[in-house]
Amino acid sequence: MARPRATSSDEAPDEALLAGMAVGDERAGVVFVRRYQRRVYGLALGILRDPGMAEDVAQDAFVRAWTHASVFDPRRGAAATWLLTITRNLSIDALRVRRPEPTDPGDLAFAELASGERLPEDAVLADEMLTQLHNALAGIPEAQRRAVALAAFYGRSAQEIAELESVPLGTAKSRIRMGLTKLRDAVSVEEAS
Amino acid sequence: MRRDRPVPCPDRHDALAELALGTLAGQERSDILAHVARCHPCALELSELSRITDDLLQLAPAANPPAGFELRVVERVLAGSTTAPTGLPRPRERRRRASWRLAAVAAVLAAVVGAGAAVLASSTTASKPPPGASRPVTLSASLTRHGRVLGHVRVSSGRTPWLFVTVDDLSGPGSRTVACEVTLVGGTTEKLGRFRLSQGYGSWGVPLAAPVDSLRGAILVGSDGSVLASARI
Repeated sequence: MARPRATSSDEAPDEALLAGMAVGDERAGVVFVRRYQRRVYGLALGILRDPGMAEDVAQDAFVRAWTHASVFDPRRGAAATWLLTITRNLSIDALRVRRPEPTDPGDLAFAELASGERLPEDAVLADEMLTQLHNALAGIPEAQRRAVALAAFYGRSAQEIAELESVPLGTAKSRIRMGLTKLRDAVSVEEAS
Repeated sequence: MRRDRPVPCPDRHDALAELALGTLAGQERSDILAHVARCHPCALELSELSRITDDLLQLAPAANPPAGFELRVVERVLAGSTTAPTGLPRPRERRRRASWRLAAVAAVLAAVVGAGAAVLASSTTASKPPPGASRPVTLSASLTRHGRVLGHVRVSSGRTPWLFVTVDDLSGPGSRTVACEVTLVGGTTEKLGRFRLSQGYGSWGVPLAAPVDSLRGAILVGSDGSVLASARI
């Protein structure tokens, strides 16, 4: 029988690192932070557009992930997804409290990201499905893309999107639904083919 | 579209998308959640749309955080910092932090920098260095009472040995002060100090005069002298 191989922290899967963090293994925590700090900070910076706020929120996201590592359930999704969702929610909270004025639709980093006009240099697009998703974003109408981006990255409700875009509520809802559904269908087609 | 996908209820399409994006609130949210609980096609639709929403976040461009970012994260974790309920960060308290914490953080970072040396143990809560290495050892033990885990005690060896206590759930109204004591080899007890719990939560750390391998356990003692929780190190 093969002997179990000791795993370097740097190579350990996310779940193992979170398990280590849950029992107070600081080294596992540092490796986890190093692994994701650029993505977490990048997401916070993209939403907040303020380096100071982004660093505070990114720190909060890691602290929260670390202190709640024991409740992470890998059956419900990947660690990266969990961490980025925490980051997104904290960013939206900070955005609403510190910058209560409505988001300027012309100042949407992620609408630009989703435009398909350029590929972000550092986006994590190694995953084929993410590449498909990025391409799918480029393929949907701009109004739907903006509605999805406002909701997904800025937490804007349909009512808020309707006001920002000066369209009826029903139109905003349709744009959100059609945009997201088209993205799902595009990725599903690729997966099925 | 995949041909085998069940068709969700037409009048729920909008709400499913908004729920997946996390932007639905109030009665609308309650209604669609109740519906999804009993409608398989809508539950499947919600699952797929939620996955797309999650994946969208991974498209965000990465960016380098300011230098020292990881140090500050570890510092906050070791200091027991948590996020404010509003989601806003707490004011930075770096200047008030004791030097021993910085030493502990530095020790942790130094340990990780050691290429390939760190080992994740699968069956123990201790991170032990490989034979012959002189890197710090960090041990973690659960603080329990009647078999229930109430918090954790962490001790670390190295140039500046330290002990850090986190109490997650030592129920009791308001604030109260507890004492932390350690038991040493031979059965002697040493009082380390006192710290305050608020609504059952708190954390506290202290540099250790005694070597880590001389510790056998830690206890938290209430103001009336009763043992509130204990840990075997």
